[in-house]
Amino acid sequence: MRKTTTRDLIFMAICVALSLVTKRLISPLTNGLTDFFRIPGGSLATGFSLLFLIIGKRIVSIPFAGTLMSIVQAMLALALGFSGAQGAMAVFSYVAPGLLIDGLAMTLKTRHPLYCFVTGILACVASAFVSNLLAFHLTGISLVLWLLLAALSGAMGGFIAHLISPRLAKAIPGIASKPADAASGKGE
Amino acid sequence: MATKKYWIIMVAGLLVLAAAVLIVGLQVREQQLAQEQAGTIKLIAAGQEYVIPFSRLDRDSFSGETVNGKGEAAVNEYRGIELSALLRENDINPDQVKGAVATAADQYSAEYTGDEIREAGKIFLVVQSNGKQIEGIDPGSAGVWMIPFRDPNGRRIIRNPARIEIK
Repeated sequence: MRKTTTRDLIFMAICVALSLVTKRLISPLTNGLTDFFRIPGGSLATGFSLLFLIIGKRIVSIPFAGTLMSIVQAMLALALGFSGAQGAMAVFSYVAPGLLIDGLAMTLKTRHPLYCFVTGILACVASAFVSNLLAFHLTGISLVLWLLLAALSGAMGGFIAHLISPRLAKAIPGIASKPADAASGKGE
Repeated sequence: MATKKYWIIMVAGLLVLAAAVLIVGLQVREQQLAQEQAGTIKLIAAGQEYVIPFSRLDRDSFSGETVNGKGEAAVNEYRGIELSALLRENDINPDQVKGAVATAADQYSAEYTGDEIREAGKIFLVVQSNGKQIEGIDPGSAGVWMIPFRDPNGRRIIRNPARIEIK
């Protein structure tokens, strides 16, 4: 197992910060669509936020990097008042995708070409499901739409992460454990 | 070749999800518009107006005590949402709220303080009382009451508020 370096931690911190900021920036745009469908906003922005955690995990391939980043993100969100309707319980909706990012890295491996895409979808759906359980309490067809929007958002985020991460891995060689593999996008 | 296969999987996945969102989304919108025609409340805060359909108020079950004009207290079972939760859902921080004024269609209004809004279990919007739908202005239509529980009388209960202004 590769030793964790300060550069790894700095890169993960940047991913966390970008993830938080992106959600705030993109929310007004995505809320336009969710308002049209008359469901609470949030689920559509999550994928674009989580893509940075997926990139972080894919490039800094250390165990539990996803969980670590999601815990830090949850703490920052609480400290900065970004927790929205969920209050302190938002910790769970932030940490659930982090656990999935790590869980899928163990089963699918981060170098698999579909890792970002599948992880994006599942992590976003998990986050949306937990948010709904804690705050929104949507049921029936509204819940189906809420989860579908999360899946679409996660798929888009995962797709972008798949495109960006090999380029970043090449650009920051000191961080990625196996930049050549990540860059090639070849599976295990 | 393998990379191309994965690209096709990802693009196809995106298209299928987008199509599913569009189909289900249009159905939900149609359903929600029908519900909105059944009744809405206007929530006004910091110059912004939020139109809340009654369907979004049917959230939690709880019990609360009210006192009638004769001074008789009664505890009933309700369904609805706490005002502070509704504010949070619309990204309004209850901790920064100074008060609220609810006004019914007949212009009867009541004022609530910021502390009352923040007090847990105090101010609710209810859509059901003891399992029965609250009646709206038109007979047989759905309605909402704004209830400050544990008040010494029922003067600040607003039946079918048309607007809630947050200060």
